[in-house]
Amino acid sequence: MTNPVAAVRRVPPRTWARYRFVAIVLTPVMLLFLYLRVVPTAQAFLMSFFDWKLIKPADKFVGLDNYVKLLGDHNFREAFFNTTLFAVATTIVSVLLALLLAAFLARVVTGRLGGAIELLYFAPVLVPMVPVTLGWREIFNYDHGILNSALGLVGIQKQPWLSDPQMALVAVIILSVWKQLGYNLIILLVGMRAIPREFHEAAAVDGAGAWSQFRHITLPLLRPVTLFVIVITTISAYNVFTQVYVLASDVQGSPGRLVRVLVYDIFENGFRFFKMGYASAEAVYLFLIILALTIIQFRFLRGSSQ
Amino acid sequence: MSRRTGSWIKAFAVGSSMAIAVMACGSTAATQPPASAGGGGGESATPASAAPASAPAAADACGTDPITLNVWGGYPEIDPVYKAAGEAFTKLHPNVSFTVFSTDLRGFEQKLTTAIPSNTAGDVIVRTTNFLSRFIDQGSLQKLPDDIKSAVTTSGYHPAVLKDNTYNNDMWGMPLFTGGTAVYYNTDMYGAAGITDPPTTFQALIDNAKKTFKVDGSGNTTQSGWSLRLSGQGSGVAEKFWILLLQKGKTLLRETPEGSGKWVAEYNGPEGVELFQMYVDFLRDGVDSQNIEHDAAAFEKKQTAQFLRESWVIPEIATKAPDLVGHYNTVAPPVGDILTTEAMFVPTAAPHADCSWEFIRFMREPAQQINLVKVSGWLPARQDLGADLDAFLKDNPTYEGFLKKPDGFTLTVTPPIAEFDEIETKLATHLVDGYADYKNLAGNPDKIKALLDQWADESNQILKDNGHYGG
Repeated sequence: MTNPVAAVRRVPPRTWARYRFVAIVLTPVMLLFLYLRVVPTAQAFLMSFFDWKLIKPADKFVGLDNYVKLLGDHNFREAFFNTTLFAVATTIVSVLLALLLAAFLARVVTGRLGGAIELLYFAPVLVPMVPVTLGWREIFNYDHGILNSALGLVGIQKQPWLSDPQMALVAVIILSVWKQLGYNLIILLVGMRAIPREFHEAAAVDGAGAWSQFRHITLPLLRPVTLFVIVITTISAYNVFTQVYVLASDVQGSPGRLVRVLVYDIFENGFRFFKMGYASAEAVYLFLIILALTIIQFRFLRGSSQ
Repeated sequence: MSRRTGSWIKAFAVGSSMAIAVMACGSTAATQPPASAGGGGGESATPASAAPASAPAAADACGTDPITLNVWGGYPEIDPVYKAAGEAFTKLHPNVSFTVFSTDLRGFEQKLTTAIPSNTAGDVIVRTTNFLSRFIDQGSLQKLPDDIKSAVTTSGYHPAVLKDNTYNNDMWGMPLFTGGTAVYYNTDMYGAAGITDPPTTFQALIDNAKKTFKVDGSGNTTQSGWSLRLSGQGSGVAEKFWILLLQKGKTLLRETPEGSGKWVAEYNGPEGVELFQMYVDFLRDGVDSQNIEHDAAAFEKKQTAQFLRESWVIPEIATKAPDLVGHYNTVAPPVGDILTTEAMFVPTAAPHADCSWEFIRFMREPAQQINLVKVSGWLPARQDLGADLDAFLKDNPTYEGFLKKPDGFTLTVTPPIAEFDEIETKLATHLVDGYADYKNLAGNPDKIKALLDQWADESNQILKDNGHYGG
């Protein structure tokens, strides 16, 4: 058995100097992270066990009451359902579309044209969400929206994108996929371009077609990148807020409907109803949902990769 | 050991990198609402007493040192009123200057929830006593000085205004303006449908709506007979439902027994069912539609024959739809209305509280109150404006629906309980869902009754949780 003290003594002085340097440069960042992220998160956990008002903290310890009440809360259940549906649809559609487009751009359209297409798809990522959503609100307008006009050209009836409960959710998904697609595309494209061409050339020599190469070479080697994209898209989708808030804001004069999602519900409970303890419990639920999904995705994709 | 230490260092480095990434990504989400331009009460605040301030001599109230008063409100259309009043006030007190901050009401409320507790709110805040009651409980707002309270309670204000501004048997804000509702109706559309009289009964409103709506060849509504409030954030949907419920003699929450401070949901009775059924039947029959413009925008674009709204729409029509002027009129709701009063408050931490109250006294003067309605369209809280108000009405007859009420007209004020906003907002969410499900609910009173009972149970549960249930 190795003596720990002796082991420490065996570490060369130069290595200790490196450790010291790493510790010195990282400490300020870690302290900031602790103060800005870890402490507030821990405080949210703490608040969730209290009847904690926005302007009247730690009023009464209520144990798990907030968590239990949430399970029976109609708004929370609706928000959970909508958010999950939104996250699943947005993740699946945006990752699949990005995968197809990336394969297209990596193998078929290259050069300047390929670059222009990449830029075109990435442009929505660069634009802030609020003006983008305001633009989409006009696109979705029942009467003069371009989407309904386009549908009319192919003989499809006008759709109440902003006023029907189901269509409003579809509208938010369309908007979000459009916004997320470029980011997913670029990440997957970089991953695809990193795959050595020799693999594809060898497969081609063996008689493998394009689909076979994509399925047996590209997809397996791209799995870590795909995992990253899926996890990031899922987390981002569960945190959806701005789109639904802006799509339904100032709707007194125009048709519009709020798609209740978890972050909106947290916001409403905390900052409108002043119930910070209750909102914190909801935030903890959201945290646990995302954590569980991330672990599942890691296990599933990493497991099948190994 | 060295391998373990190496792993620890790696983990530390990875963690730090993630921290940087997370902080970079999260920077916008963590952004707090900005403080006021002038710093509000946050800078070198000298806490003032929460006890009623006595009336200082006008010359002393603002002293001689340069002072900037920040006026905060939730209605941008009133900004010119504050600015004009500020300029007039500066002539009396040359050392005082003003900044005015306003944004949409919901954004303003969210800003107040963080600014008042952190002592960064404006020197003068304009909002309802009901909304600010939580901050009153926390001692964050000053009581109304005795001289203003005496002036307000002695004469010149409707009893409902005083009731709406009373919390814990005391007054904290000076009533500035009120938010009454009237029916706006397009006289051309009425005329085309053969309607000659203004809608003075609830049944007339229904009948006129059915006579004036229009549909296209596909059966889609192109002009609503009555632009109902069917969607929107916050509590507005429930508030409009409430106003119509008042026409049927019922209200959202009934104090049981009167004066007990205990409340019970009343909107799930037969009158509530009838009213909800009117909404969904209208949607089914195309009298109104969720797919067309609503509210003031619909009226201004001549896409609806009638709707209910506050008086601010009148100056908006003059600006946005001048061709409509002379082709519409207003009439008071048949039976009663909700009265909400926006009052002027001074935070406990306001650094120039005496001067703030002096400005509030100034805003109570008849000239400022008349200017309020002339510029913004909002109705002055003072009713004792006599000839000035008569002259205004003569020049602006479309205000008749707001200034002339039928005999026996009742004004209902918001229940003085902090959780009312939650009850109303949650009811609004349910109503929006219910209206969207009109195909299933139209012509089905049993289903409607079951829904309303379910929602009323939720309202009553919130009252129970807060110790205000009187069932």
